[in-house]
Amino acid sequence: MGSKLYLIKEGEISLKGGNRGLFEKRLRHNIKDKLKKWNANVEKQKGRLYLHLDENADDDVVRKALSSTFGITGFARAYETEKDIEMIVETAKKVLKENPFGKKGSFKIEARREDKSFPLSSYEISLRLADTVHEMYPSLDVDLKHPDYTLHVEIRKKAYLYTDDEKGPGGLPVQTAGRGMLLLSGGIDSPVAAIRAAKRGMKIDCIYFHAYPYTSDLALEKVKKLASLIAPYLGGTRLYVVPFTDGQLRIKKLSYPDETTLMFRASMMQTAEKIAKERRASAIVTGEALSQVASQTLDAMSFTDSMTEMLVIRPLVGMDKEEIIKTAKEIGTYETSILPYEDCCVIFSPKHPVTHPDKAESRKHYDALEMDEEIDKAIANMDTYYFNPLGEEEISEV
Amino acid sequence: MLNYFDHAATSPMSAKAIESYVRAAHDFPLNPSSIHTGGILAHKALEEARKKVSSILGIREDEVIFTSGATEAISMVFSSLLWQKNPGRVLISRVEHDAVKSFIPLLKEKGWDVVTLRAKKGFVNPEDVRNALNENTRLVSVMNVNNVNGAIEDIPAIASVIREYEKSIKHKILFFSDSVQALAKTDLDLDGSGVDAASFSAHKIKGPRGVGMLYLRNRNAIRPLAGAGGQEGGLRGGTENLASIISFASALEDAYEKREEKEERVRKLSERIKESILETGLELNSEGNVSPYIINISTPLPSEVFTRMLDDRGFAISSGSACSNNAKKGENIIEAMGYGNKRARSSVRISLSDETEEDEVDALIKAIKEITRGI
Repeated sequence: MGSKLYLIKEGEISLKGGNRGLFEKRLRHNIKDKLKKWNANVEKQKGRLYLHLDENADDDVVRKALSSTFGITGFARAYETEKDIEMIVETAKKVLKENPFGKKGSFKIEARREDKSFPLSSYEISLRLADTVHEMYPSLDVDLKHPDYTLHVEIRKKAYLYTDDEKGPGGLPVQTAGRGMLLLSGGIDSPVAAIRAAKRGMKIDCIYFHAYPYTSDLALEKVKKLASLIAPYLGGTRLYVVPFTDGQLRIKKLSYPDETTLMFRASMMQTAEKIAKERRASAIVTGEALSQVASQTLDAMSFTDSMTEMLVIRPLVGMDKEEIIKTAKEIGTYETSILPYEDCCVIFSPKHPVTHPDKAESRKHYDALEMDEEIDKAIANMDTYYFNPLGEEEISEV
Repeated sequence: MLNYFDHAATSPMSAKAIESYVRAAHDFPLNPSSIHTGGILAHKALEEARKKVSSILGIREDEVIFTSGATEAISMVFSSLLWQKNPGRVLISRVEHDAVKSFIPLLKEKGWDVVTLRAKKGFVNPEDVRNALNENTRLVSVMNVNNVNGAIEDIPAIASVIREYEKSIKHKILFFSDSVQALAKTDLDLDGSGVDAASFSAHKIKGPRGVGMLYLRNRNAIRPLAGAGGQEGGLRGGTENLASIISFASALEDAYEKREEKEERVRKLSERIKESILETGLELNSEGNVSPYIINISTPLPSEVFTRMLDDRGFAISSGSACSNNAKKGENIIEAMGYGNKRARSSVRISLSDETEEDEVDALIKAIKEITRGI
């Protein structure tokens, strides 16, 4: 067993009933998978997970990994010692040496005695440790309500001490709620949609429609970068790149000019469904928000939905652009999304796109385009990339 | 370099320029400001390069200030204005290079009255210059050959308007002309054209990057960016990039050899491209008195797409604007010339050199026709 320890708090999982074991097992697996290079081992004790890593584990990488793993509500670098008050005091000194408090302000000892056989009460433990802190930081006051610094000690199978308690992303572990296919564009919205869907446990893979030379290979590089940025949240993700130039040209040539975008979206749904079915996904996820653009009205979405029997999930449907941007900044995709490589060339966008299509009528128009052959050809020529749970590209086994 | 049609962006260094660079780096490794023998040798080589350049361009040696490129030469002129205590008026054509236009917001911030001159199809009307001049005017900036469509401005006419107006006021007006695309590619007459200052770059004429020149008639007209060791007569401090300067002089010498003959040959190639462009139904954005080295056209496709399609067929050209719904930063030059937004978004630039071959041109024409037919 390694010698670096992190203490992890689960959130909603702990409220689950009969399925709780499944959720916990998946969370442990997801954490181990992410940090396997440091021989991650996750041990469970009542209400807590204890992550043991090799001593040389990079704390920044570990922090980033844990703060992007759904199912975790909080975590802290922790120190383990025997259940002996003298050893606990010695460990506290070490903790404070490695994670020093400031010289001004207040502190608190948060002691929790799960093992009731430990001879000192929580209050007594707190008093001893408060003395230790006071010796090291004579200018700090005690404040039990709003302390600037907190030293936690938990007496369980062993004694565990930690200071900073960082917030995790919450949600449910990825891969506890089925598999979805995300339509990933180069824009701001779809990466956020991916994160929202993954937060509730969905395993997400991504599909990107590439129309070279109408869109540049830089646009593809940008989408790959976005996939790598969201991969840690998704517990790794595949990116399917569908070469769709001929399909787009066919649509542009044969469809009514004001319907080109709508027809393109319909063909994307059809393609996504085919890929999803082959890969046993049961939902399509998009980054659409109601009324954001012409193809995102209720009528337009209702039409594109009719292209697939599959459940279409739009996690951003009720979000304002500002809210979406805020989340994109938090997850770190915003700066990449706003790079100036368009995911759809201007020649494919009609000047006055239809906003309220008639479902039956548009369906007839779409059928007349006879897209099946183009779609099958595009899927046959599709490229697959894989980004692992640390966001690194790996050669995909497809 | 085969099928390369982006010489207005840069031309690969000629074998002669590379050889000259290597030799200079080897023979004159020391600092021209040093007073030991090696330094004196380097200084001599520097002055010989200056002499060569000035004699080719028909100007005085003390009018040649070597810089790191045209951008630095431009910055020396414009940042001099920013230091002045009493801001006045400057006239800047609407189709200047960004190296010039990027000074507009700075000048405005410092209280300068910046008047932009319209340039229909790329040409500034000397009459407009006349109307925009006032007694506070300190500088007029009109480029010599436009880098986007090759329009050759009537520099002598603009100069004479300025000189005429000067008679009615008490101070000199500095007439600056960014002349990067004019060097060795037009009948450049610095002394006779009436400009006071002009910027040049070596890598557009098969010389090395990182070296250029400011032509400056009156050395008191500007203030140096950095004094340092007083190099270039105190106007451009910093140890001279000697090997590059010598290589620049050699490239210039090469470019001026049979210059007119070369220009005539390029003109024929250029005409051939233009004719076939019109035949194919594409639009020509280089009209009137334009440089044969630069041809700007508009196609039914966004600039970037057309450029990529040609690139896939092995031809390198330049796209001015992005395939984008979003307005690009700043104004598109083709749009500023009055060609309209749609034409601007689909404009591309083909630029030639004196080494462009006939069969390359024919292959390019064929590729353009193929793409156009496929749309």
